Amino acid sequence: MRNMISGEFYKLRKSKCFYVCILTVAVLVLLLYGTLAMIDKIRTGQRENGQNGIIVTEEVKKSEEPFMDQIGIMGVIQEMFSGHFLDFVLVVFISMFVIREYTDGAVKNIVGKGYSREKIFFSKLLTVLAATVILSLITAAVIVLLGMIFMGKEGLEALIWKDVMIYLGLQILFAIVVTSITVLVSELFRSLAAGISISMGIVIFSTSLTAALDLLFHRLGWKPSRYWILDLQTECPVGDFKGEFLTRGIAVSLIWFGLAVLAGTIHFKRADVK
Amino acid sequence: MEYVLKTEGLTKRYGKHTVVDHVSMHVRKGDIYGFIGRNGAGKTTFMRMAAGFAAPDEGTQELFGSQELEKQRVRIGSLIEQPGVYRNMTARENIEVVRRNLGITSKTAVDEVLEFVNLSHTDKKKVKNFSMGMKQRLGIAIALFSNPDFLILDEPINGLDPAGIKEIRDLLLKLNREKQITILISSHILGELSKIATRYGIIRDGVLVEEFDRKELERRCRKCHKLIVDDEERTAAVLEEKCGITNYDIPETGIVRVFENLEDSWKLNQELIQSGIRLKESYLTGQDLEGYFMDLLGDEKNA
Repeated sequence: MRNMISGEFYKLRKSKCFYVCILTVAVLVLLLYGTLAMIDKIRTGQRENGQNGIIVTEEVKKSEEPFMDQIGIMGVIQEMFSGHFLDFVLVVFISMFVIREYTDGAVKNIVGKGYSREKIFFSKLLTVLAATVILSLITAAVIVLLGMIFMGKEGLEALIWKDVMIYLGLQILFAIVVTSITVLVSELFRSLAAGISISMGIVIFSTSLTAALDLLFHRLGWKPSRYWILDLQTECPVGDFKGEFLTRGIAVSLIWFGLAVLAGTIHFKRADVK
Repeated sequence: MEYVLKTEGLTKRYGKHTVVDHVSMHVRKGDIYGFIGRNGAGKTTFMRMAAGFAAPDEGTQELFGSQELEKQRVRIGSLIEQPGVYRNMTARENIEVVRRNLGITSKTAVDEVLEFVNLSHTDKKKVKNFSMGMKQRLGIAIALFSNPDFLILDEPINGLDPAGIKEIRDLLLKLNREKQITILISSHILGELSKIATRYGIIRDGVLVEEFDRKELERRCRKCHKLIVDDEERTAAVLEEKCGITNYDIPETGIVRVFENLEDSWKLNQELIQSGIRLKESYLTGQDLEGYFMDLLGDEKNA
C-alpha cells in the first residue's frame, strides 16, 4: 500500500489540474477581497455605485465602519468554506483525478499486480483526502495572507485563532466527507462529464432538496437538513461552538464518510475495469 | 506440457448476452499465441478476465499451473485495448508512476525499459503529443516494466503504419526469443499475426472454435496441385509408379492433391493423360492464411 500511495502522490505532484485549482482558489479569494474593497470605495464616493457590476444598497452605505472591517478575515474564511466555493473547486479536481484513471485506462497498470482491490481504492482515496486537506489549508492561508494585505495588521489582530482553528477543523472534516462522496460518484459513473455534473449538482441543489424535506417533515418535528453534510457546512458557526453542533457535526460526518467509502470500496471491488 | 494460461469453461455474461462462452484455452510456455476473432467475438473480454480486470461468471483459470490467480498475476504484463497512460505526463513520468506503484527500487530500470522500446529520446514531450506508435510502445514498456513472464496484448498494432507494425513485430519476437516471454496476442491484421504466432486460437461468437499450432496451419494452407479425376486410385498408382510422387492425399472421391514437384505440374498432367485417366480439372491451388482464417471465422452473419 505504501508503494501505491507513493505512486499516487507522485501523480498528485505532477497534476497540473491540482495547481490550477490552487490558483483558482487564490484568484477567487482575491476577487472576494477586491469586491469588498470596491464596496468601501463606492460607500465613500470614490467610485460610482454599480461600477464593475457591484451595487451597494443604502443600508450598507449608511453604516459607519468600513465594510471590509465588518466582514473581516473570518467573514472571508466563512464565505469560502460555508458558501461552498471550495466544494466547487474540490469537485472538479477530484472528479478529474479519479475519473482520468478510467478514461486514460491507467488503472489497468495497477489492478492485477498483486494488490487487493480494496488497497488500490484506499490508496487513491487517501491521496485525494490529503489533497483536500492541502487545498483547504492553502485556501485558509491565502485568505489570511491577502487579508493582511487588504486589512493590515488590524485585520489579523481581529481574528480569534482558537475559533479559526475549530472552524477550519470542522470545515476540513466536512470537506473530507464531500470528497469521499465525490470519489463515490466518480467511481460509480467513471465518465468525466457525468461525474463532474452529478457531484456539482449535489453541491448546488442538495441543500434545496433538504430544505424541501424539512418542510415536508415539519409536522413531525424532524429536520433532515440537520443530518446532511452540505447543510452542516453552511450551518457551521464561526465562534461560540455548541457541544450539540460539534457532536452532531462529527457524528454525521463519520456516518456519511463511512457510507461513501463502503459503497465505493464494494463497487470498485466488484466492477470490471475497462 | 507446461501451461502459462489454462482456462476451462470460462464464461462471461453481460445481462442475457454471453460474450465469452465456455472457453477452454491452453497457452503453452514459450508460445506466441495468436488470438483471432471478429469484432465483438469476445477476444478483449477474454483477455480482460485473464489479466484480472473482469471476473468470469463461470469456469476456472490457471496461471503458471496455479489457481492462486492474484499471486500469479504479478507475472503478467498487459496491454488491453488502449495503453494505460497519463496524457499530460512524459513517457518517463508515466513509467515512474508504475515504478513507484510496483515498489521497484532501481531507478535505472526506467531508463532501461525506455531504451528497450526506443522511447528514451522523448525527453519532455507529453504523451498527448505522441504518435500512435509511440503510445503503443509506451504501453508495451509499462507492460514489460515488471519483467513479466507472460504478456497479454490486445490489438497492439492497431492504427500503426507499416514501419510501426514492423517495429512492434520485431520487438515481440525479441521478447519471446531473448527473454522467453510467452505472449497472448490478438490482432485483426492476420497476415502480420501469422508472421510471429506459433499457436492460434479462433474465437467465434464467444466460443473458442479451434486451437492449433503453426505447423498445423501451414499443413492446412500449403500449396498443392489439385487434380479432379475419374479414378483416384489409378491416379495414385500413376503418381507413384510413373512420376515417383509419394507426397499426395485423396481428401475425397475424385480429388487428388499433390504436394511435391509443383513446378513440374505440366509433366504430371501429361503422364496422367497418357495413362488413360480422364483429367477433368488440374490446377495449382493453396489457401492463403487470411482466406483460411476467414473460412474459420464464418460468414458475415456471424460478425
